Amino acid sequence: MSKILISLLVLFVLALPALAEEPRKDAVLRGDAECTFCHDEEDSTSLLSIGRTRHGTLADSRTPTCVGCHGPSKAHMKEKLPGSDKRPKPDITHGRRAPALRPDARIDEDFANFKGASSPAEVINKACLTCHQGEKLMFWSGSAHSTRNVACTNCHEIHTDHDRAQDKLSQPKVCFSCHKSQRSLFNRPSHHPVPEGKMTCSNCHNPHGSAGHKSLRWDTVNETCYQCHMEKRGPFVHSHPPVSENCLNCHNPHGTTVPGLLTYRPPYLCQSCHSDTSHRGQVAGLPNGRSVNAAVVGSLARGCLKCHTNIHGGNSTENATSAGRFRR
Amino acid sequence: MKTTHRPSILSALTGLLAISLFPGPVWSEEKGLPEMSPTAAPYTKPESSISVGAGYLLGDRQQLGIFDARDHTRPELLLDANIVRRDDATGTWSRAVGRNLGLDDNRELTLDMERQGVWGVRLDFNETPALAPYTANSKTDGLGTTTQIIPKSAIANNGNTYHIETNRERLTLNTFRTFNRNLKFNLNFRNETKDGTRQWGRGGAPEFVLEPVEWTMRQLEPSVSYQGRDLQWQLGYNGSWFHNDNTLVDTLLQGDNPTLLASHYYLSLPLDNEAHQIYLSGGQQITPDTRVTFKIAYGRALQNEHLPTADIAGLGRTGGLASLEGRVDTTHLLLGLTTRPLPDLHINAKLRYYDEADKTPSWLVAQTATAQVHSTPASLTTTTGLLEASYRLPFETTVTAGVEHKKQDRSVPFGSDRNGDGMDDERFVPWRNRLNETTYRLQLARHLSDSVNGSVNVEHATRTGSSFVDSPNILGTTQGKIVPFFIADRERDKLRLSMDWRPVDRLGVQINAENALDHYDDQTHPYGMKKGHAQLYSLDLDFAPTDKWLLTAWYAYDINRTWQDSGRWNTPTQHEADKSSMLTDTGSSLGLGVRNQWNEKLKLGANFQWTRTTSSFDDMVTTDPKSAVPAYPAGVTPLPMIVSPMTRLNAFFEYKGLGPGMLRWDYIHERWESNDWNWKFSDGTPYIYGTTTDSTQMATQDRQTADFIGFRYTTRFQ
Repeated sequence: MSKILISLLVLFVLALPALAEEPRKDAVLRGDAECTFCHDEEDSTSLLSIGRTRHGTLADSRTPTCVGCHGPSKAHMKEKLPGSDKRPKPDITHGRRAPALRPDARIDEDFANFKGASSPAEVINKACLTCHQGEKLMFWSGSAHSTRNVACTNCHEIHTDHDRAQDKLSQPKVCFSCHKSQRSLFNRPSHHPVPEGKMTCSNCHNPHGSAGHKSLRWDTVNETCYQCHMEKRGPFVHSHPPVSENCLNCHNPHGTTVPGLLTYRPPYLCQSCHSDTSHRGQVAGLPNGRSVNAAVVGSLARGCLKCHTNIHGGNSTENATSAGRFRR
Repeated sequence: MKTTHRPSILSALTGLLAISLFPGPVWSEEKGLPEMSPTAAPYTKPESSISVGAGYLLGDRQQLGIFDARDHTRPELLLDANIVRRDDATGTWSRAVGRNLGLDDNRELTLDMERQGVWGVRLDFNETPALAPYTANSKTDGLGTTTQIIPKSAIANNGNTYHIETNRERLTLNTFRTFNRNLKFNLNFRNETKDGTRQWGRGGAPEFVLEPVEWTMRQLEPSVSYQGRDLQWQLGYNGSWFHNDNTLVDTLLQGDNPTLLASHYYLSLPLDNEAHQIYLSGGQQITPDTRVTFKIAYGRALQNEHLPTADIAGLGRTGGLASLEGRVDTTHLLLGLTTRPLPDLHINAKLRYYDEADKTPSWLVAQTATAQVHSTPASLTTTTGLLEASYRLPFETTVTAGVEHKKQDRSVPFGSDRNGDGMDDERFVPWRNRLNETTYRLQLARHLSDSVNGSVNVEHATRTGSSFVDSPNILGTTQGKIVPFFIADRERDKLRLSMDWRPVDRLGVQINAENALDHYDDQTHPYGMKKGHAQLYSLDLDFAPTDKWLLTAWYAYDINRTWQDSGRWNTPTQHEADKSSMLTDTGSSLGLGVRNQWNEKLKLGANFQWTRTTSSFDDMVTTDPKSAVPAYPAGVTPLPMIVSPMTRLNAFFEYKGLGPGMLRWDYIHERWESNDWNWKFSDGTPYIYGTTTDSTQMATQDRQTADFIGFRYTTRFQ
């Protein structure tokens, strides 16, 4: 018993220097003292600001440590590069931005992320997927972004409470940094209210992958459109097959020059399926004055849709053939 | 950076041992949270902000303001808030986020309370207006109601001016509760109303009417999800309900006897419908390098509301339907596999089955002496298989090759066979009961260096199908000559090049080029879409000459061109003319940006954007030598090219020297021009409905200029 007491006494004495010198405290995350010893408020407040985020909410025991995302990074902590003031990079780095593009400065709202100069996407994503699986990320594996080596941090900013990818106003700019065609289309006069900040790309698409085509959040194009346009769902007494099959047959949801997001103006759009007798085969043109001749008013003022007004489907049981032509 | 020395290994080890024996000083057992360094607290506590200010909008922006309703001169209250609180002890967040709170029809508010990882409740409210960028001057009575009376004769531009608009109000409730680390219950509910009017039309003359929009959409989605280390799944239900306050619109000409059925022109409205879906989706990690994903979903959409036209004596067919009994059942099965059989080889495979079975009865809706009209339910079954492999080559290069095959079985609706030839007399266009499309993809992506990425994508797709079911009674003449483009045989080629280059830290360059080409070639059906061509080029630059300056620039040009042929026939056997059309849309955009951090207190910036879109319509009309009718009808002028340039300049400065907050000044100048003829006759005068009846006159503003100036004070706090 006395030997045990003596051993504990020796141990306590040995520990005295450490206890006398107050142990270095973590600053933001559990076990971050090694990192925040250098990366403190005088070095970079932007790193510390992870404390403002969900990742920095320590009461949630699932929240990560620096090492969990950046790896042990022994070389980074141990010494500087030969002949340089710089240290080797941490084991996992998640991206690099131009020096002026400081998240805290908020001057980068309009500018594209650069996708290179960090660890391979696979390595970055593995760090994130350690915790983030299931639900919205159920179909990440095999998704377009996953198979094209897009890293989570190409879109998401982790150390800021303002992740541009999750903000209505800035998310489109994140997407447009790669999807240039969509950027051009949203500058067309007719578009969904994405540039106005009323919708986001992720209202329709799940960039993390989905069970539908084109990473749509719902299983088909029409199911996606019906989330907001339920009145088009029908089924109708008089259904228009290309409508109920795929809204994209006539519309481009990202933007067009034609009102109503139509891909082409009537009568051209209608004539891509209907071209035969009567006014259906009319030559496009503007009437020189007032007219009710169906063969000459198919180009202006909503074109064919002036009369065939229920083009998405009609519910009239009127005993008239015109009811079947979406006029009733 | 701190200058204190690092402790020795011995002291660290002994300290560690002592700490493990006497844990009190470091870990707070009561709260289970580490005690953090207080000096970092200002940077780690969530920050809130409130922004208050005033602005003035001067000018017109009917086109640019279609989704924010800020379309005319007015003062504006600028009020935004982002209040965030976190109880660090429990990890409970409380948030109140408001945007555009001072702007009518444009407000957004979110209230959110969440104990992170345990439970959460979030309430969202937002408004989205949609304004037509034109007005109507009409003497029609009851526009936008269920009874609209059109004048038999009226003087144009002598009525009331109508602004056509709708407004959505959406209220969303999202909640979740976790029961342990793995199991989570979600309940989402949405209630959305859409009110206002939409442009509509009464056929024949044609005449101007407005569709009354008084809709309610509701959606309910409870789900249970499980997240294990290797297995994740989600089981859920998604129900949605559409309700229309109105079911039918009655239109009459003023003065016509309302007791006579012939005086009424009824326009049907979307009726109440609903859809239900149950689903199970999941993923299982078989090995560290192999994952299987799946989804099983079954849905049913219904439209059973009583049909209002059935109650109008003499309107419908005797013994006609009173309810559609509409029902569409959907089945979705998905199986996915990703695996890495070799360290450098990644395989991605998917098999997808989607069946949309329209089980609505085929009703005889109308029957006249010469024709019948049936409802035409149509079903689709689509099976898609994808196999894709990526291989990592030396020199940071990855090659990805894939093939996707889509097979579609399509029911061919059958209306009636009046001629007794066994074929459908009600068909308007040829149809197909089978489509096959195979797509081959190849991508070469190279991580050229720490500062350069580039990729080349090539895609080729071939679509074919079964023989066409033509329109029978006029087979070989008119309708039988065209093929709907979405089921036509098609060869599609795509090429995409992209490069990201950052030669130095301070300069970034992005270059993109895309080219797509569609070929439709069906000799047996000469009309329809023949070719499509799309190109896009873009260049993006960002340059930070110093730590205080940032300059950006981007330019994009795209062109979409379609060639299609059509014909005009007087009767099924009397050909009048053929038309070949080339439709071209282009878009050019230039964006410039500058930011300057003048000093610690002052930041300046400006953005400039110029966008120009064009649409042109080139028709070549060939009159049949046997036809006496001219190719171009009298009194019609070919469609002019439409050019729509938009210019926007916005500038701001932010100053942090006044009190605890920041003062921001914004100035925006916008200009929109367009010669769009959509609401004009060939001489540029406003379009007027009818010749004797109606006389509603439409008005657009070809040039719109607006200026906005605003000041706001933003205070941030913790």
